[in-house]
Amino acid sequence: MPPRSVLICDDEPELAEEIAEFFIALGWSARIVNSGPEALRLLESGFSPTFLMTDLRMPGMTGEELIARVRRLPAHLRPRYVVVVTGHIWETMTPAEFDADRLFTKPIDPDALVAELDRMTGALPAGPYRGEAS
Amino acid sequence: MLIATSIGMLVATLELYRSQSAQQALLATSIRTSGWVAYQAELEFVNTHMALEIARVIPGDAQLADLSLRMEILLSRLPILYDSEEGRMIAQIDLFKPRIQEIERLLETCLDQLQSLPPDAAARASAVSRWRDELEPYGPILKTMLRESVLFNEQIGERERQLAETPATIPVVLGFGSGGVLIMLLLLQLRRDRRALGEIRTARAAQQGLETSLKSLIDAVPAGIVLVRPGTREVLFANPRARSLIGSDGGHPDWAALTSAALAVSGETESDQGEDRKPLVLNRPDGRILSLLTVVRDMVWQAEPVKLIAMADLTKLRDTELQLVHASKLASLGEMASAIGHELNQPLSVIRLAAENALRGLDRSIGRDVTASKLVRIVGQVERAQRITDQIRRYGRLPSSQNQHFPLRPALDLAIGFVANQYRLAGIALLGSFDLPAGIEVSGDQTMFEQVIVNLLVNSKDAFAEGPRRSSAPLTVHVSAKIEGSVVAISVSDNAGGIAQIVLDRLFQPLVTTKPAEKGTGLGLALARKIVRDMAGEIVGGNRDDGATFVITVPFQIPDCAAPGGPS
Repeated sequence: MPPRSVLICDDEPELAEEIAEFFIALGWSARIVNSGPEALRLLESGFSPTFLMTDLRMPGMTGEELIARVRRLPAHLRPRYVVVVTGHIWETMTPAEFDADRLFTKPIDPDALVAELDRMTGALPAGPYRGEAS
Repeated sequence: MLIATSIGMLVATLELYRSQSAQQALLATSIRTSGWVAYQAELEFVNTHMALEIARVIPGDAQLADLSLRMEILLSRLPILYDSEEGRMIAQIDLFKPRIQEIERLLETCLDQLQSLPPDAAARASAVSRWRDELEPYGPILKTMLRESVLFNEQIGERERQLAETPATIPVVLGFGSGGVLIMLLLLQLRRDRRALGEIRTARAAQQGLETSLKSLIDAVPAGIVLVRPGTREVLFANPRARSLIGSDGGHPDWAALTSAALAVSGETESDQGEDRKPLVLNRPDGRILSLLTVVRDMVWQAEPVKLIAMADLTKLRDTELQLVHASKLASLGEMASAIGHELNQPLSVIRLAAENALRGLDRSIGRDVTASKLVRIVGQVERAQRITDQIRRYGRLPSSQNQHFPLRPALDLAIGFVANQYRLAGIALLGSFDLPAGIEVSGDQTMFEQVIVNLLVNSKDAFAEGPRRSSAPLTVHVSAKIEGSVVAISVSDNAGGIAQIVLDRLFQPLVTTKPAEKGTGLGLALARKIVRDMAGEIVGGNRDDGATFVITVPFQIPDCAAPGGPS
């Protein structure tokens, strides 16, 4: 399995740290940012992760805005998959509403998260990520 | 008046009687005397006539001397007829007066001639004859006078006799007359008195009827009515509703609290718009708290000026209002459920992952320090979650019905803390500027006051999501508090574009909202005003600059124990 990387964007530093720690323990490479603009800067600098994992409600730039900006990045700078992790409690939300590939709700079950990400990158076919198609 | 008239008439009668008697006596005297002087004159005229006849026949010196004497006597009698009081009583004396004076002049002439008579007897006799002839025609005058006088006297005498026979006719007639008039007047007065008495009886019956009706009315009204003597505050009357409100009869000492409180409240300076209905909270001895609305009026009761205290029992209404406030709070909690859920999920996520990482770390035998740091993090996140649930519990607490002093600054901080994370997530800057004396307190229910502030802050936050903004300035909500005279002014202002003109003048009316149905109950500001007014304060709202501004003004206290000094 090729090494996978994740960029975690959450305004809660402690949560971002724990998620990163979890992935690192699994052998992933993980980077943490606490806001949308920081994430964009990192992507523009050439850090091209397998996954962008972002929160939705963040001060300054929301997760939706960040995703929209990411979509406009040149193809080589985009992450392969975009995953939304949100504290929203509405069960009716779908990833399509945010133009994302997957949507996870907090509190995250880490095993379920990893299993799903594994399916996306390996065992299962890739999701309908338009960024990849362009 | 009747008595005065009667006495007046009696006095008039007596006076009339007295004057009549006097006149009668005077008349009797005068008329008798007048007859006498006429008689004397006539007698002397006859004597003179006799002396003239004698002297004509025998004109000797002695006869002439006698004649002279007679003529002198007659001359002295004649003026008495018209020049004395007695003579003036003779009927028509003024008509006789010129003729009598002619006699006097004739006599004076005769007397003059008598002094110079010649001694010749024939000549003497001729002179005397001439005098007799000259005097002769005057005889009938004196006779007429005497006759008239006697006739008149006889009439007077007849009248005197009549008067003597019926001595008190006139007074008696007058007495009867006046008595009759008196009786008539008395009868008239009696009739009038009877009529007046009838009217008084009718009026009294009507008044008693009115009083009875008024009493029944006062007994029937659902409001408590108490009549109090102003000075002593003694309860004169209390209707059944008032008795049931206080739970005892009028004489009971429990009433003193009510009457003095009601009168004291009514004596306060007229509040807004001259409203004279005053809220009054009364602690009953049995522990029940009454919310009363009182009106005090001056009135007259059984001819005595009293104070009327009318009381409407708003306790149930107040309880209902509190329930409504509570329901509204729960509703707004529902509105905020999503945000609260999101907020709670944050620490839960951290806890879940930290626990997971710690467990995996145990498998890989990572150091105790790492595991310990995970556990510390978990405890911290649990505390964070607990703060959130505390706020919800606090917010959802049933409000109390009693005003209590509470410190203003912590209440504002709690309200701001409740929405701070939502603001942070929405990217709205929440700025506070407090220029308050240390320990400043306001009076009311703290959780309800906090709800008002939360409500305003949530409204401002929601406003950014609704209307298009004119300005591109950063989203900002400013909370400030400062002293303005006798009140503390707390303002919440945003730059979210302002309130729509269509709702601006109905802001505080219930069920007026600019929010979509799932977000607003339309009760928030109506309840906010109710809560602030219960704190003896006021809330106003409007547009300022590029947003809405709400200002709450409430009275404040600074407890003695608080350190005096500058703003906190």
